[in-house]
Amino acid sequence: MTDNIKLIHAFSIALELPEHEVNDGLEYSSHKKWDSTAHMILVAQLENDFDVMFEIDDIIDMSSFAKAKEILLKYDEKLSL
Amino acid sequence: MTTTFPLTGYGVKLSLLSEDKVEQVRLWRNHPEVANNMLDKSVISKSQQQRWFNSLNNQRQLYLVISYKEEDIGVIYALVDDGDDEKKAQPLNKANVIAPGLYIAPECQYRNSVLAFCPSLLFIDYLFQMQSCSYLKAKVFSYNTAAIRYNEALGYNKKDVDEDNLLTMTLSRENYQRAKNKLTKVLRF
Repeated sequence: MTDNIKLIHAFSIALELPEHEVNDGLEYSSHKKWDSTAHMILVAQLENDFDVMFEIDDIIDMSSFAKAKEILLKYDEKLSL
Repeated sequence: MTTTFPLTGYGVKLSLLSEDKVEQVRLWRNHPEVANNMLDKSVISKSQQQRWFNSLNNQRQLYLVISYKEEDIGVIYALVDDGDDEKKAQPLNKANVIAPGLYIAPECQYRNSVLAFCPSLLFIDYLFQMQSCSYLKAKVFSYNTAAIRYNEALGYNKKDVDEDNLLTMTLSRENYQRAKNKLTKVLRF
């Protein structure tokens, strides 16, 4: 599984969305399923799947799929996202 | 035990609602995204808001403004729930049941963010540590799935839905502690 597919899969599980709806345009301000609870589940899912522990500012800043990629790359620049 | 406000923790600050913020709070409260989830959805006028503020009794109700990084982002509050016995009129620190509530400012960038859990964690810690209540009670419209999921993540259990379509949810100290342990694994302040 590529890192990008792993990330899409994590979003799909956390936000209970079909994988084809997970793309760079996905933002928490514009998607009904991305509420506070989904955000919490998403962070836990990403920390587990990518074996990272985010700084709190990065967690709060994780406001879109594109931003999640950017933040993950800060923790592991070898990821192919 | 006397409490000194503001409360601080989990990255947020909870300050007693002050007169200079009453109008801002009214604008948030009147916004359809907030008002639609209130039992009373009517638009509140400036004069009504001022009368309400002047009549606030901090013994029986507590309204706190939430701020994060010096930005005001919402309101959290608690009211005594006397049930059907209005004669009890207990102050908050002696009430058996307290009904808390919260709203995040409608235009706030953190509205659907995990940050929304922080004021609740701080406030519920305070209510359970400083007050003598045995449980907290929330009433949310049964269609408000985001609020129900949010409350469940804090450890609330679903109870009955009444004729107004309001779902009662309750939170015991034990369930809160379990939920808090999970939440603070992510919210590592």
